[in-house]
Amino acid sequence: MSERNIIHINVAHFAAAVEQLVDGGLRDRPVLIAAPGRARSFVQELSERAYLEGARKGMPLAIASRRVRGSRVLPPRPDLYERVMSDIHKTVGRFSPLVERAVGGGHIYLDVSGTGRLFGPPPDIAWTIRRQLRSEIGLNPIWSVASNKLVAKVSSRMVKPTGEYIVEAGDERQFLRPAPVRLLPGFDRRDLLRLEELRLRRVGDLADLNVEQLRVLFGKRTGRVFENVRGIDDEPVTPAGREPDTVFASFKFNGDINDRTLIEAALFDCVGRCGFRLRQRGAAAGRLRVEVYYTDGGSGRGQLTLPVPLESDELLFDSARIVLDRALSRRTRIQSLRLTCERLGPPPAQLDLFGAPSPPIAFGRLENRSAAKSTDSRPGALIASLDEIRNRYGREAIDYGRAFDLAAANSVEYT
Amino acid sequence: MKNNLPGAGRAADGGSLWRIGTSGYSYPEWVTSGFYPEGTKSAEMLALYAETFTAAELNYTWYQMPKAEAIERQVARAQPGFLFAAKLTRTLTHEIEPDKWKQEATQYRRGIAPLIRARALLAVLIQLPPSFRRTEPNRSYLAELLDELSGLPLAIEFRHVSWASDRVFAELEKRKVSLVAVDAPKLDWLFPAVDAVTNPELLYARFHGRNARGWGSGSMQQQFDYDYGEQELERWIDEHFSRMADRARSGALFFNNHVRGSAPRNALTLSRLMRAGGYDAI
Repeated sequence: MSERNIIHINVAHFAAAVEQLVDGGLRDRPVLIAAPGRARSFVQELSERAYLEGARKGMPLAIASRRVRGSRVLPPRPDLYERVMSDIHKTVGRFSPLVERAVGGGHIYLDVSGTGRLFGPPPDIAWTIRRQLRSEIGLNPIWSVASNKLVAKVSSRMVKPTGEYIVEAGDERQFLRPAPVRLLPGFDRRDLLRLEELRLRRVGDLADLNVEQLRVLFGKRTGRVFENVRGIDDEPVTPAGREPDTVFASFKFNGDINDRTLIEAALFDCVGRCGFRLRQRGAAAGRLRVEVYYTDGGSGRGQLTLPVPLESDELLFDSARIVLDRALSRRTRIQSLRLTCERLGPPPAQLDLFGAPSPPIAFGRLENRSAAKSTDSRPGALIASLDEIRNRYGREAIDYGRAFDLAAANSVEYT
Repeated sequence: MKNNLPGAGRAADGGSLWRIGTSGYSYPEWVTSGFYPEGTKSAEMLALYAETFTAAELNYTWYQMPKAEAIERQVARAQPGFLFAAKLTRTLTHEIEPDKWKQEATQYRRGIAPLIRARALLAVLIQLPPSFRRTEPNRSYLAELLDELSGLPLAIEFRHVSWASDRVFAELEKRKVSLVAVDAPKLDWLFPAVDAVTNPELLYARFHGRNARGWGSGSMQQQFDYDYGEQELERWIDEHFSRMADRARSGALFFNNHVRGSAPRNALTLSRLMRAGGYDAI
């Protein structure tokens, strides 16, 4: 891959910063953003001052309010934050069409590779963007310049809440070595606790481990961790509308749950909807990702690259369960989950003309789930029949038995 | 072309030594223009640059406070004897906050400490903006800033014409701060080409190019898009450098017209012309 110049623009504590921008009177007050009126409300975002006084994202609001005297609690206003993000996007978009809004508000990546003749060196572009955002919108973002998104993000985290960082090409690994591991993306709370127990506190400590040692700690994530701790990242800056093709489905519970059976049922529902769409498109998934959203505002993620692309509900579900295990790193109740099928491609070529015989089906309930399972990655006659019925009568015309378990639990579904 | 680097400031025979280089060295367009071989990555540029030149200005220290660990690694990548002129950070020149700047100055000193330890610091370049006029508050600030940075080799570039005054030059001479001799477009408000040598230990000159229209464009790519002709550089040597060289023991001359690879090309031309004129230029 040819050398890149990536700029990361980050408005720290974005939602709180926007609220303070809108109401100048809040500028000197600690601000907590949390959904009001719930018995258990959690801090979704907070101002720098609130952070310094001991509040944290995901902290129960009751505790945060006790810690931060004189704080102003505001309900989240996603529409407002989206409008401001759009304005930021417009500003940075003057310098490159390759602009990606990262997950979580207030973050944008910009690929300015090859724009030197037009706009000058990348640090100058970043400095100009910051100046323009200050004068046009009133926000003061962090900016960083690096050869990839990972290093740009870590360097922004290093100088948070204000500042700038330029990591010269070729210096990525040395730059990362002294950084605390918590600044590196891809580690959840469980990882960090484990690393702390092992006194692996700096990125360099992990970089000094060999592959086998990393495998003990990270299993199938070893490859990604190996690259991350060396500052290697070839993920492109992907503008909206040019995201890699995916199929996804989400499920939101009516309340918070931690019942594994129901969580799996919700996952199965997502699998069913994704599988249906995959097969309608004549595609199969090469990778699965599951995200769970906890009641305290935190989230968990897991992903799995499939050895063979899948389109069959049953096989997708078997793999999705593995990913769910990775995503569910905490015992906290969850509010919703999302399944994403990525790396879509054509289904694998037919390996066996004579697939396993299909079990009988009945409208309403599939009694013998295991009988529907095939060792063939193709969907099989059963699912083909289900699809045919759905194509004719709508998706809700027929479903697996688990769907009825979910309905019985009063769960709510959305896409 | 490998350099024989006799050390900072003096030629081996004790005569004056003139280092020539560019403002920054890491420009992808210098690969396109042919200064760096095709396929050269940014990480390789300093080492390649140092095969041709013996000094460079560090631009990025203007954008961000230098960090000692990063500077240390940079010094290690350069040849022994290679010198850096580090720009002072913008929070001390362009975006000054009255209650923070002293802290910033201390941080800056800490950040460039590896350059000093390695004896690789040519100068701290204080480049002031055109908006920094010679007013009472600015004069006070500048005096305090020079106090805070005392002990470091300093070079100061004014961009506003109001600073072109004998009193200013006398003060700089007293403090042994090098006044940067600039070559730039002849604009009424811009600090002019002045042949004053305020620090005989270090004559410091910067070539910005003479693109007058570009200076009003607001775009760096236009502002510094200029290619000096050989005759222009010869005339500069005759009309300006020759007058200053007699009053200085050593110096550094940097080309800031980086667009399209003009800076290294012009730097090499100047180096050749100066040697032809009997000056020891490297």
